[in-house]
Amino acid sequence: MTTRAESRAARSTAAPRGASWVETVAAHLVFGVVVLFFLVPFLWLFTSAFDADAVAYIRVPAKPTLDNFVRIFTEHDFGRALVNSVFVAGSTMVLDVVAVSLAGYSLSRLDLRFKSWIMYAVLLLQTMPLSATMVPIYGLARALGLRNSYVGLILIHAAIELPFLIWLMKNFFDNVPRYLEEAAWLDGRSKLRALVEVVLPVARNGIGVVAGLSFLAAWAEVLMMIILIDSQDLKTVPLAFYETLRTQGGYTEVQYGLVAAMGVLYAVPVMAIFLATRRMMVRGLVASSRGL
Amino acid sequence: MARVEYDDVSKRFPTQDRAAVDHLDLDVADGEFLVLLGPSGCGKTTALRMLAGLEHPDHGDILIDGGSVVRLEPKDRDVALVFQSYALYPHMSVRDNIQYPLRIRKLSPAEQSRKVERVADLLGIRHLLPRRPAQLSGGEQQRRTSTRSSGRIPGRSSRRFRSSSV
Repeated sequence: MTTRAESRAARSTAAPRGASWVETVAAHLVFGVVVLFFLVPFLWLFTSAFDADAVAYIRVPAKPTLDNFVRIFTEHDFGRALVNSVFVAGSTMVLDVVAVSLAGYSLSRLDLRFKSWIMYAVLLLQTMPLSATMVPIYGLARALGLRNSYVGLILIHAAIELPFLIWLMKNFFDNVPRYLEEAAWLDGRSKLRALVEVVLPVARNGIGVVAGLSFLAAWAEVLMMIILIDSQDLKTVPLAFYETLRTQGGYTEVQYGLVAAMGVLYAVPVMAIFLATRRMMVRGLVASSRGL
Repeated sequence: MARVEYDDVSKRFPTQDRAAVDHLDLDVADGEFLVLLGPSGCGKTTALRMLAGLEHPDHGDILIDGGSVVRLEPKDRDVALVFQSYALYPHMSVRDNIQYPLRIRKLSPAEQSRKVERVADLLGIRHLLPRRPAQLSGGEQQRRTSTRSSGRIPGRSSRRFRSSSV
């Protein structure tokens, strides 16, 4: 027979009582609302893209057509915009992965007296809003001749994301034990090759997160694009959206069908990448939150 | 094997107020088997790591076969270290783990396979070669770790010694 104290103790450490059905229903309702909130724009996107007379609200197209998709390629050179976006975002991703790996590794391994100061400074840099820095960036770009060039776009996009990604990667490297690269050094590898062959594979979830985030940031970037390019050859997808504005007789009209078609083609690669790297990114993001 | 000398070696870590290694003089003869015993924190591991090149002494000199190695990178010192924590490359199979130093030394693929198999037979882990470290038991991992340094001896005039911390 248990004493009163024992049973009280047993009750307090027992597993929490399962949620009542009311709680479950309420939780699902809330989730449902949130999910709906995010999905509705996509609903509009996918219905209006196939609608020749698309409007700004959701409705089922009277005559579904692929005409919008055809028109964006023939009339608005969307193909080029898409290629440009892929190229710029992809190059930004590669550049960021390389730079962030080196910087994050150094910050993780080197014994610097002011390391915490440096880390906070890096993080502080990330808090600068682009709207505050865009004028100096423009001046810099113009002085360096980087306007209207791929190089300029890629460099600037890579730089924008750098502080946060370095900080992220540094935390990932902190979780890779040092003895792995030390073993590689003793096996005869130089420090750089040891980093590439031994440390990076172990930190690959972090690399996945960095790659994904930098690609997406460059893919979605509008502000810097508008500022830096006015050449038709270099335009990227966000700019292509603006070109669908048709001005006639003094008022500007938005061609929703074309916008939606562009939107579909713009969003699909992102979804594809997410599906492909989902596992890596989730593992990476969970791991990074644990480190905080 | 080789002769090792520590000559008035000292090392202090910036965050500590006491030296980890304090004016150490030690002579180890060629082929000698030496064991360092002491309470934790007394500097055993630091002394070994300085020999391997993973830490740099603040003061003093370390000589292997009469030649100072203090300026050499770990990869150039030809020292094998068995780590307390096994230090197995988790993303490679056991075979690749053993082969890694052989690959660096640019042995022919046939040579590499031969050595890997010989060492694996010696330690009875032949059947474990295709597996990943995560799939091995603790004892198997240990056996695999000691192959890392064994895999490097035969046929080469390299100086090799094992330092192991327990």
